[in-house]
Amino acid sequence: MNALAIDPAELDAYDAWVEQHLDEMVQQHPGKVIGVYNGRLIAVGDDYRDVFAAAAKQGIKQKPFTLRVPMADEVNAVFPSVFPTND
Amino acid sequence: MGGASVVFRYKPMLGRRSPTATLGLSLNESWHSTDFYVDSGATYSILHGDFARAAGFEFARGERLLIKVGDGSLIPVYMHRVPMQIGPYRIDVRMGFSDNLGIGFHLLGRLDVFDRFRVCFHEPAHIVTFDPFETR
Repeated sequence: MNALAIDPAELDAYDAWVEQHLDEMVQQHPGKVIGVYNGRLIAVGDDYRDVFAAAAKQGIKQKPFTLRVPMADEVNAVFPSVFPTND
Repeated sequence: MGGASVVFRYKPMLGRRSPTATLGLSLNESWHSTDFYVDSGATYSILHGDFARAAGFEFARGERLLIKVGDGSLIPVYMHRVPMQIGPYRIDVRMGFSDNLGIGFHLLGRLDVFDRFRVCFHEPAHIVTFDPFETR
């Protein structure tokens, strides 16, 4: 198995943050990209570049966890499965 | 590979629960953590192009494919093989990059993932489990 690059506990912590806060984010920041670092929401931007830049401006050297917050109509839609065209 | 299972809880959104998973992904020799919607109906995993561009990854040099999405339309994707981390496990996966996915989440499909893990959706418990197994 290859060497790891991210502490699995860190991935767990971000997953738990999403579970706790996603509903709130969908209501407050639909369609935006959010950045989370050390359990704290550090940036809300229009795109990922905004969020990475905000993290760097705050002196955060690691890449923050990022997520584009779903819009309400996405939540209620059927998510699109993707298939090869030759199926 | 073999080892302990990795469990992700469904995430509540506006009264629904969705099977998403926080995973690691290496682009341009830098590791990122981000959320994927686990889609057992999808052949390919798809990452949003703006995420890749922000990470400095020039995805458009990859092989271009047209793939069909759930509403029957075709979208262009650019294929690359990238390192991914699921819990403590690191694998290489073929990943499509697209600006036309139409939803906010990145998608985690079956290719190069479901042949390394038994992926079990337990709807009553609101969890999705990745159980690694040995491959020949």
